[in-house]
Amino acid sequence: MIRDSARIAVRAILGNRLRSALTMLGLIIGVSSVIILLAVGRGAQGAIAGELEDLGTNVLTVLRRGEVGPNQTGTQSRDIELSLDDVQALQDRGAGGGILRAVPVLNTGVTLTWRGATYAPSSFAGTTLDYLAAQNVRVDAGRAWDAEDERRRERVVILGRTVSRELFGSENPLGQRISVNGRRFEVIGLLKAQGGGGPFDEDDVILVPFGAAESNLTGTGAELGQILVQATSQETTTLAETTTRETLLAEHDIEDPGEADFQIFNQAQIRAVADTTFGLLRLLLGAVAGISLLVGGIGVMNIMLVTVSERTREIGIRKAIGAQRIHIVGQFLLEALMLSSLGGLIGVAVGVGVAQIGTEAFQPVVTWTSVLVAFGVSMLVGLFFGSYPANRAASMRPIDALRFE
Amino acid sequence: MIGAPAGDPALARDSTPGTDGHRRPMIALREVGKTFHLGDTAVHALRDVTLAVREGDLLAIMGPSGSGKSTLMNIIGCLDLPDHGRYVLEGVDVRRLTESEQASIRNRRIGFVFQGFNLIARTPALENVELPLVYAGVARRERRRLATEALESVGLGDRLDHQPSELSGGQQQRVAIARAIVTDPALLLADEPTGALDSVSTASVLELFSELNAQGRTVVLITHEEEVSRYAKRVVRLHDGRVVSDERRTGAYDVPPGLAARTAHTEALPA
Ligand SMILES: Nc1ncnc2c1ncn2[C@@H]1O[C@H](COP(=O)(O)OP(=O)(O)O)[C@@H](O)[C@H]1O
Ligand SMILES: [Mg+2]
Repeated sequence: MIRDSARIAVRAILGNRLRSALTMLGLIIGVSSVIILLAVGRGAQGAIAGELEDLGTNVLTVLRRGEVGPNQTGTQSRDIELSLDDVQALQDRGAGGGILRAVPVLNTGVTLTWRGATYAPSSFAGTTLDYLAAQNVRVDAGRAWDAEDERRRERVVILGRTVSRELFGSENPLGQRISVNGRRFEVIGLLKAQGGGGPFDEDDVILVPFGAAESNLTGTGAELGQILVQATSQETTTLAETTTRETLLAEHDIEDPGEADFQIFNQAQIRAVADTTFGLLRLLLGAVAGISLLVGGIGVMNIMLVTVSERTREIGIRKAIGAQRIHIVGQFLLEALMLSSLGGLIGVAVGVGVAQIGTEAFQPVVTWTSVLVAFGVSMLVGLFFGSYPANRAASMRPIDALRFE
Repeated sequence: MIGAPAGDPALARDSTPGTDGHRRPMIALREVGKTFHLGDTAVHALRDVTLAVREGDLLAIMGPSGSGKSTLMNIIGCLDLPDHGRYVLEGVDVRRLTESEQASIRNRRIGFVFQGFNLIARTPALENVELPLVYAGVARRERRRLATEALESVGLGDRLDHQPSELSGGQQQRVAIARAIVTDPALLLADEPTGALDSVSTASVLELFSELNAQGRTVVLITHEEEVSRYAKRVVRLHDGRVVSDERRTGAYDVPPGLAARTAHTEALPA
């Protein structure tokens, strides 16, 4: 019986190829967009999570209150600032306060030129060698500066790969002298590529020894853009945060913590914000994809209703020669199911195929769950939206169906 | 051999004559009425039709267009129910049957032939003929065998794989007849089966019905061609939803020469 119904359904589907294809199109778009959008959402989340991981989970970032990001350069209010004294005070608390190291970072906008090529990296840090350890990055070409360079305020720079590529193209930057805001610096090392890219490009960075930055670019006594505080371990991060808050309140002579002129961010907070954002994003993408599946299902219903009314006479004949209700329901339901599962399969193929196209920034991640859910939902949609037309067909009285012209 | 033997015991019919020697009526209608409502106007398609058809009869229903012939046929064939009156088919009051039981009766006890052939498009002749057996739940191989036999018996043994669009009108109607007899039904109903056929096809289709009747099947034939009624044993005329005449034609019908021997056993019923 199933085999007979299947043959009838295949014949009906093939007998009207264009219409069948158009019906499936809705489901193909629905299913593939579910898979693609979920893959994009997951891929983006993975990329961000990876970048956060790179920062190290035991690092706190101290910013002046009101600053929203680490690369702000506005230093108008002289009375509120993060200073080297703050760094020293934090350093003095040491392991007892859960603090492994405190790293001062000078931020300023810079423009680099080399043989007529000009580039403005998005991130500049005048900092100490500890920065590399705290940020969990290393130099993999040339060398980092050493304590001696730092003491002598040597005009040397370490470049991220993006900066190096923008400025030197395919030429070897090591040993070259570049101009940083008009001052000559020697390129001594390159940071290991971080990947990422897009607005979060961690390779778009230039590092300069703290002293050299102070005397050549920002001026002595300039306000620190940020202080990185690395806890002795992941477990002591909370202790380090408390220590940092207490120390800086004391240093800045502030009694009410609510009045603090600085903010402390830890990775967990940043991550929580990112997770919430991406959770919402995924929900939104899922909803959009779900709606397109629904629209596809309504397409199936629409076509099935047309099919039923077109084949009213056939239904009448079948009933006249003794088809039971279940035969008619089964026949049309099977047809709807075939259309929707074929559409679902093609949709899966298209979705998985399109999701292979990644960008440098991130690669969409297709999960089995999303494939199964999308395919399953398209079958359910076929079943659900096919059952109304199928029941309508089965409920026709044989005589009315036969008289239908 | 015309017709297909019942392979499924469920399809076998009980044709035991009544104890008093009379055949029980296969079809018994009592004061059956049917009214259709089109907006405000009521069309009385049938008014108080009382009619009994015996087993083995070949009944022609005649009358002008709109006189209620098809409506009567649909009621007899369990495709429609009367508004009032009683219809008893083989001893069963049809009104008491569920929708599913009616479908089952249409499937096993009744064979339909329509004016417009009503074959399923894009479907080979063999599959069209198999369809009633599919709905009866007959196994595939058996189905194939019975359907092939039925098609052979109507002279289409070499057209099994042809689709309706590849057959002439006469051939399509033969496929429809094969489909009607494939379950070996007791009752054959035909609503103007020759209405769309040329005279040659008409004659051969009518001979087919005559032969099928000769095998003991009850046949009810709707027509408005006088010539067709020559084959009938009994002619009922309708006018405006009422039976206006009912005549038995003992010996008045032409028996095709080749059939004389086989019809010999058919008992001539008193009028
Ligand atoms: N389903 C229906 N709805 C409305 N009127 C109908 C319907 N079926 C039949 N009729 C009307 O009933 C009358 C008898 O119809 P029918 O039995 O088809 O006549 P015949 O077959 O003798 O030509 C006609 O007037 C026809 O218009
Ligand atoms: Mg009619």
